[in-house]
Amino acid sequence: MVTHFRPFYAGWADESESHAGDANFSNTYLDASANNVTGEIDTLNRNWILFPGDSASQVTQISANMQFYFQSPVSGSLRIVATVICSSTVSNEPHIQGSLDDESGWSNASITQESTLTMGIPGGIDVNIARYPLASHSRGDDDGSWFYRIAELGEIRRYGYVPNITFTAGQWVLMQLTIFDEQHAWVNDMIFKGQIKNHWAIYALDITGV
Amino acid sequence: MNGRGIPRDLEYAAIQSRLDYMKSRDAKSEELINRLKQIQEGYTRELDDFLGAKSKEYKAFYEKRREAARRMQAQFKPTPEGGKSEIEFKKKRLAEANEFIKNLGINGNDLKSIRNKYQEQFRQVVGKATELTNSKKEGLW
Repeated sequence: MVTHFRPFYAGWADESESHAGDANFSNTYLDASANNVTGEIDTLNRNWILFPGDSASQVTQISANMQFYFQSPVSGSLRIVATVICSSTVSNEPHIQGSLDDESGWSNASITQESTLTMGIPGGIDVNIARYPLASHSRGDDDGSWFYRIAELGEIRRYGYVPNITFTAGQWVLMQLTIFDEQHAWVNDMIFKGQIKNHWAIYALDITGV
Repeated sequence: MNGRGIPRDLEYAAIQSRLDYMKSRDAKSEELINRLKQIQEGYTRELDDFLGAKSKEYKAFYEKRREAARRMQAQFKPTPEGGKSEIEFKKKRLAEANEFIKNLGINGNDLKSIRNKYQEQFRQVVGKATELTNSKKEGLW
């Protein structure tokens, strides 16, 4: 087994927001970072639909990504295990939260919030990728508010992945670990305030032959 | 070769993979935006057909409501008084909306079924966009 510790190869982030319909979307906020020196990956995805007219929808997506370069220790298949630590402060734990406020007797809504960790060998985002749900929440027509912790402060998790391709001993392998948070909201006559927050530190990457 | 022992061409490959990832994500995002717009347009068209001559009145009512909500927002301070006035405002707003629909002479349930139809389309599009693909072996170790 070979273990890689920080600094990792590179960190980067990207985000996208799109909306349609009639509402105020200006309080929506997206922010993410990935620090390859400290191994920290952070995301904040806030999807807010305020002062809605009859109908409005908004999709927000954000990702924080860490790239790793390592040389395959063996020829054949590899098992790659990432150890991650929830490194937030008490007041800043990873969470999914939201609220829906009714605006009329015929209001309705469709809300989906998902937080996912993915590991993959790049070559297009759908190639050789493993996805691990961190949290998800769906909500329909009824109003109310919700809050779920994704992880506790100091919690350690290990995510393993066996790419479905083979490598030769000594071959350089590029791997990517991503935290991807997305929110999809459709509202008719409802105010929606949704938020997903993640804060993790990647401690190590273990690579073994299978 | 750089200071970390990684050959230069592999450095370029890593940069290229980031660009590919972003491009692929952008393409999916654009597809989703277009579908969202189509659904919203479809909904607006069907709502206009349903309301007929009352469409203008319906839209004017919503515009007025939004303006009122904007104006009132500043008054909802995070105090017990602010909370109370917000609850009262919401109650009044709900009663007004229900009264408006009643006076407009349309069936609120018909309006709701149009909304449900497009909401279902939205769910399907989102479901397709977030469909999970799995590798051969995965899970917590």
